[in-house]
Amino acid sequence: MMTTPLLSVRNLTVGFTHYTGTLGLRPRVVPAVEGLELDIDPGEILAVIGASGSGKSLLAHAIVGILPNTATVSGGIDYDGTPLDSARLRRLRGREISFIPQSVNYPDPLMPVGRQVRLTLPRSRAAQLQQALFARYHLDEKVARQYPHELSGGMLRRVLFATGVTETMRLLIADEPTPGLHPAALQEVLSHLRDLADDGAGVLLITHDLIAAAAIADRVAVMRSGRVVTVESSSSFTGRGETLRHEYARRLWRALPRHDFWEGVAP
Amino acid sequence: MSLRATDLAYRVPGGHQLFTGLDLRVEAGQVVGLTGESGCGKSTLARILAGHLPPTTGTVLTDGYPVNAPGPRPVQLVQQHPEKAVNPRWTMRSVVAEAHDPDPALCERLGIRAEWYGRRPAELSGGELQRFCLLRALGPRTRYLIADEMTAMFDTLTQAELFAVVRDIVTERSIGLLVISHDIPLLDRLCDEIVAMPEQASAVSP
Repeated sequence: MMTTPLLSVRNLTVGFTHYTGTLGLRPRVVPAVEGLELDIDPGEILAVIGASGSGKSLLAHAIVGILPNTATVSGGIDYDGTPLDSARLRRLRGREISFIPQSVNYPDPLMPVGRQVRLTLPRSRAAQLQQALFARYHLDEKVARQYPHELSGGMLRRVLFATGVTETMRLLIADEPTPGLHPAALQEVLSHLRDLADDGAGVLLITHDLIAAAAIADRVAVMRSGRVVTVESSSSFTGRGETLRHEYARRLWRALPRHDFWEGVAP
Repeated sequence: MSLRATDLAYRVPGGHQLFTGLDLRVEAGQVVGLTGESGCGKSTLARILAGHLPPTTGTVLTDGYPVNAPGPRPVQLVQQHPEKAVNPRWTMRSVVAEAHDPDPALCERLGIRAEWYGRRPAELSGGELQRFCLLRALGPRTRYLIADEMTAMFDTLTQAELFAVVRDIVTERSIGLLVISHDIPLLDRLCDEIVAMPEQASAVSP
């Protein structure tokens, strides 16, 4: 029997309307993401890498339904084999579908972070679960009483994890969850993502960290200018990337500081 | 000639002691890497060194003068999130003009295209915006540059391109460069010397 993918993105196109011409009266739709096709199976981590501005975050925002009103979307997203329409998305979001945003500006600046985490939890056990989550992410209990501006970038990343990951989660969309984390904390976040997948969740991991993607993902989708140019097996990101199928994937891999770095780029 | 911090301490207002007794020195033309756990105060130190934030105690001298002396700041800071470092309502032309009259040769080396000047920050990608932040930071009076996770949000090719240009410019102009990053292979590639922030401050009793 064929297994149904947990998430299936079909020919997804996201465009934005720009107004040009005399007095800015002529609308023109500029596609930002074009014809995306992706599947995520339960228990799988699919990493998405690519240049900044290539549409990685738009893909995440389209899945969780938080694109701005000015965006025009076509194509389809299936979850568990049935279309993920807005009513169904509202029901599943925060329960089965979790999102960890890219920007550490997402937490409410006027509310202590502990309280923000408790808001996402069942009310009867909120205090207890929040403490357990903070312990799990190595956040000191006093951090719970602090406001976002009092925390470092790395600490806020861990708070975002604590708000995003729930017990009932089956699909996690993590948009660059690792910048600003020191190596030990990074390792921990990555093995946590792997554990979630091994427990059966599907994970879409958007990242610039090729080493991390190669280490924990099953497959790696490479985006450029709004398109997926190739989906590579994560095991191909090794050595000099000889087994990578696409040239752009190879260039990204070789531009790592531990490989060619600036020797490979024209001055 | 050096950027020199002596016996710096910083206490978060109404909060805990972030670090004490911190010394750091960057010579003109030297590239120093700084690493340490998240939350240990690296970005706070960067802001103190650039004169954006006064330390609780201690001094920062650039070539013998206080860092916040009147006139163009000799220490410039480029941060992780360029979109937070520019006025979202200004065109890129105004953003740069606030600091200095940009040298066209420098713009070209940084890969800045003429048509980007009329745009506002939201109309540029992060990598494009960071090039403007570098342009703004590399004015004629800049003696020291602090790159605080400057490329953490970018792909590896953009990272390599930006650092290749920065390396060439700091070498030519004998600018001292402090690179803050968690990426040890990156620091190994760039730096003459790598220093670690002292142990996590939560160990220091408030």
